[in-house]
Amino acid sequence: MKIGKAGEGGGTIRSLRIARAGKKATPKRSKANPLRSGLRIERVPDPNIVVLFGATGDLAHRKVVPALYHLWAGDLLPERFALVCFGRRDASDASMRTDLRTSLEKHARVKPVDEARWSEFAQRISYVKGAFDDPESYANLSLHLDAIDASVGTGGNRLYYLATPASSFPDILRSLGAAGLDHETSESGWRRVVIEKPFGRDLDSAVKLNREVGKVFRESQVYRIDHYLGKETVRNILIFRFGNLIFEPIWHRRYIDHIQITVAETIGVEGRGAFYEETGALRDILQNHLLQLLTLVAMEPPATLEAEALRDEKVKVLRAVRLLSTDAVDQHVVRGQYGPGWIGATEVAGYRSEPEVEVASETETFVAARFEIDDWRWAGVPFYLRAGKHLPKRATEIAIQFKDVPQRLFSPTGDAPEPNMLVIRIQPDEGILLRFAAKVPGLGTNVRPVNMDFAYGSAFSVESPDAYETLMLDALLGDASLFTRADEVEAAWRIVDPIMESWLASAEPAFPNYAAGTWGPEAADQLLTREGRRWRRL
Amino acid sequence: MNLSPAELSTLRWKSSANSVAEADALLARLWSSTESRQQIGANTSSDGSGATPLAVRTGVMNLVVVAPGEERAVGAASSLTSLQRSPSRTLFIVPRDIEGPPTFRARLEVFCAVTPRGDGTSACTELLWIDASGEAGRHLSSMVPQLSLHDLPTLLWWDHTVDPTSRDLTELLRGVDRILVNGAEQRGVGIEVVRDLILLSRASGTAVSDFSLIRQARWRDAVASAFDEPEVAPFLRAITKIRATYSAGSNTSAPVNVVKPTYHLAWLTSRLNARVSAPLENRAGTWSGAIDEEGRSIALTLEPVVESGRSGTTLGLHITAERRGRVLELNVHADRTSTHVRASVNGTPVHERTLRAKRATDAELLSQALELGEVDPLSPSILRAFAQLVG
Repeated sequence: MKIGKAGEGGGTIRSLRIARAGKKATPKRSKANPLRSGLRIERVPDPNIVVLFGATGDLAHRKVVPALYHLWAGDLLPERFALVCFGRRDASDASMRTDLRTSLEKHARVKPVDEARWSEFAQRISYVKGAFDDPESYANLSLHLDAIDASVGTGGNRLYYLATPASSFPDILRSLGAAGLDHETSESGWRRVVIEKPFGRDLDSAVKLNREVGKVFRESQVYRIDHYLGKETVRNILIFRFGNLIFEPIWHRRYIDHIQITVAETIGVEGRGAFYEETGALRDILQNHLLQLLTLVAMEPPATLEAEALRDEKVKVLRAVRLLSTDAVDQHVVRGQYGPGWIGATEVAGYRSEPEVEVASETETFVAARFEIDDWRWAGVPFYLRAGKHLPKRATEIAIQFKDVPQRLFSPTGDAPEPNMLVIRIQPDEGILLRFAAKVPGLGTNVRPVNMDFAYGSAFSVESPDAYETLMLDALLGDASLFTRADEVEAAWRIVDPIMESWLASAEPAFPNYAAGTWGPEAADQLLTREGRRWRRL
Repeated sequence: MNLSPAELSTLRWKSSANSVAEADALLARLWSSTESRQQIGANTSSDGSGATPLAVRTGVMNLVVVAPGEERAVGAASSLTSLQRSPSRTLFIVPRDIEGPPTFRARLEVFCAVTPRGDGTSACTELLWIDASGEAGRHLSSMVPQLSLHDLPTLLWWDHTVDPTSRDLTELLRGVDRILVNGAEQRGVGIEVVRDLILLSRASGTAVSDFSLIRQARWRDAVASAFDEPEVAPFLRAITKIRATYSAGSNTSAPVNVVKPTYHLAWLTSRLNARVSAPLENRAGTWSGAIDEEGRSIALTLEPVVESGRSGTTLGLHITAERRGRVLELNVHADRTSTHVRASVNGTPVHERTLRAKRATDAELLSQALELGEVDPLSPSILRAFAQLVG
């Protein structure tokens, strides 16, 4: 609905609304290239500069730079591309390139590293030394970026990637704003910021962080990255649910008894004791990965696959999750911490003996919870979520347990059929399994459950890109559908906050309460057994 | 016709049959009992649980390879070894001694590899090496459906020159989901054969995949990448000429197969949603035609270049566009490892890029063709345009 030009007494309703809010609209993306239709990638990013904060850190070396290198090697980045590393250490362009090359040797997805491709990529890397809170550093950065825009033709398009500890986010965001590096116009190009989780430590801090972000960037410029959402099989949940007619009609309280979502790891804290002491399984996995999986399983079909439509539906689910009162937490949530035990025929130490972990640590390495979603589709269907470290098996899966058949026709003469189960395996051995009843061959009417098992590996030989590659490319393309929105983050914390408050108020837990290499504390089993159910054996 | 066991995991079972029914029955029996599946699976090391590992046949597809000789059949089988997933059943059919008495002989083999599941389960693929002589070799459509696994898609790899007038091929196409050919290896200029095959397959509802078309993906990427550029993009709807140069080889008197360069024109025609206004016409090796895009005519040319390379290979793709008094010249060429794009406006370079893209091997092409499955987003519209361009 065009009603005139913005700033001249008119404009589209959107531009007027944005102008009234003191912000400028995102520059229009270029028209789609019809020659790309049907090719391996239907759109390529505009020329751009990625500005990497925390470039000397672990995340940058392990994930971010290898992802960018693979995108470059796959011709998925534009020719006019530059990577500017910003960090506090003394370094030069050359030393930065050498360091990143060394890391790539270790962390590249495809080895050996293609020297010719690396050489082209390396030419585009430069280093700017600066402090995250120093205005002069940002003035230098701004000059450096302008110079690249002029020489390379990157058009002012910039993606700021905050691969730093969360404590640095406010300084960086404020400084970017103060230096005017956030301003987005059709002349100056787009400006986006990628923020790594954790998005706060609780609801208060998440709200504060979102406020800090919002002071500088509009929500449409912000890409909160949860790499879990970039995994191929997680993205496939949407295709599975909304690309197949047969499942959606039964995806309902009428047919589903309960849902289990598990993220089990065999590894412990792997030398990240200090980090884990600050987070624990609740913040590290349940608040984000598990709740994200829950939203994908429980959401209503979005009207379109556009980012806002998709995220609106996810937020609706989170808002419909029944909040636990602090009194109810003990009934619905179980926490655990591993003690010494055995994993894969190797003896492992207990959590409290890990480096950088307090000897009387109360940090949970295991959490199991029972949630309910108060809406018409899910009322009365429990969602059991569990995540833990040093469990016997590495497995991430969603199991949908269907209800019993209404009449047990076969029980008088044989076994009662087990109810159907649908399992979406996310890792490892990605696939989908459907369990159903079949007659045992013979004269009697014996019924046994059998599995119809689909493994991705047997159907597709295409190698999946790393989640960071998918998400980085999406951010450069301006597609936010796999990124978390501010209200989504806050809605997730709203679910988790009462649990943390209850634990803070309660007596010291009897940790450790499960041996490494076991399926967590017994209380986690009781969460289901008292309701006549049990965790699926993985 | 032997493959070394090392090439396709390990040989777990073999037999022979003198009739289609016997071959079918032997293989059906193999998978019908737990005992025989355990026997096939028993070659693997146990997981320590004491249970005997089972063997299962993959549930991927039927592949039917029709090859003009043993050597080609073995070559095709070698391509299979580098696939990441194997067809469930592959029939290698070599028709021979067409005038001789009708005979059918098949060697049956089951190769298995232990799956990464950790329980010792083996995934197996069946190879049927079929010698069909006399009339039997001319009635492949009478054996392929019987020997194909039920409910799996069937891909027919016609590693041979195609005769679209053959009654047997027509019948065969009615029973397969996709035919895979190499247009660049067809007789004469090739394009009429490919056009006839496209029309034939349309009638039977069979999809066509052409190695020559799949191979050109790197060219398409290169051309598309140029039109991603803001300076070049506005010229996409202002193209006036598309010219492909191709190698005429050193023997200028022999007809040159022009399937490959024609595919470039067909791709652009389909992507521009243009209508063929003048099909390609050959004048002394140079083919000319025209398409119409929203009332604007675009001249098409295939131009031979005498040189020592493999005849029919595309040497370059040149696009001219004119917009508001400015002229874009876009030139693309490829070598073994890369494609190179260069664009200039009024003689001033505006875009230059080298995209790393190796020339695909036969095994890679086969793998891509297999992965297309029943859905190919690109080929149908290109093939439609191809048939119209050939006229």
